[in-house]
Amino acid sequence: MAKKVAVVIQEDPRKTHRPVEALRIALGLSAGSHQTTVVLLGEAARLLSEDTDDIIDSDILEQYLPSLNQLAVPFVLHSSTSASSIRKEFTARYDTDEKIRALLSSMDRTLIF
Amino acid sequence: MKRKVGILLALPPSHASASTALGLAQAALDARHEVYLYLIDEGVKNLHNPPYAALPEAGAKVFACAYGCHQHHVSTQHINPHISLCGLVVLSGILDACEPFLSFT
Repeated sequence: MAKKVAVVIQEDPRKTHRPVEALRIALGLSAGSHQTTVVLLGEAARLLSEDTDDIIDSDILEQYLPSLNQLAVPFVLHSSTSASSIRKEFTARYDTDEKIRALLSSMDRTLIF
Repeated sequence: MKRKVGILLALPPSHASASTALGLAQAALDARHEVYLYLIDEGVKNLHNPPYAALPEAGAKVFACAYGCHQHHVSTQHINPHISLCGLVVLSGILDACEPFLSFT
């Protein structure tokens, strides 16, 4: 049975490879039967920015972004994130702390990076 | 009641969670539960850690991300043949089938 899965990414992709790896995992889970949502907190929102040059493993990131877009993987960002810095082609919404907390509480599985 | 316990580990041997995940796996096996352990990202660096390498003989089903081994230059030549190198489809199955599922990422 499909599970509701959240992949929460909160680390800075300029400082560690783990945010890009987390996005790869999210893509892999999305390609299966699970309903996968990616939550980007803090500097992790840079994963969807126009300029990814300073992101570790940006070449790998650029390979995965088209598939995430094509699969319409939902992204949730914090309401304090500037929407103008986020690529428009992605399915992104902006939620408050409370709404993000409620979303995570409703998940069957949560992976936090 | 026998349960399927899923454990995901994405952290290297130097991280405290690597010991915690191992202890949980061993405790679950001792309690006669089925254990499904998936090593991903830097978690694959535990492959050559003897207590992890011994888990299949204790009854655990152990899987390691082939991509992670390549990315982190972890040799797969001399790993326990009962450890499966695989992709994310296996993790997807573990997420689906196991309850509880414990994530150490």
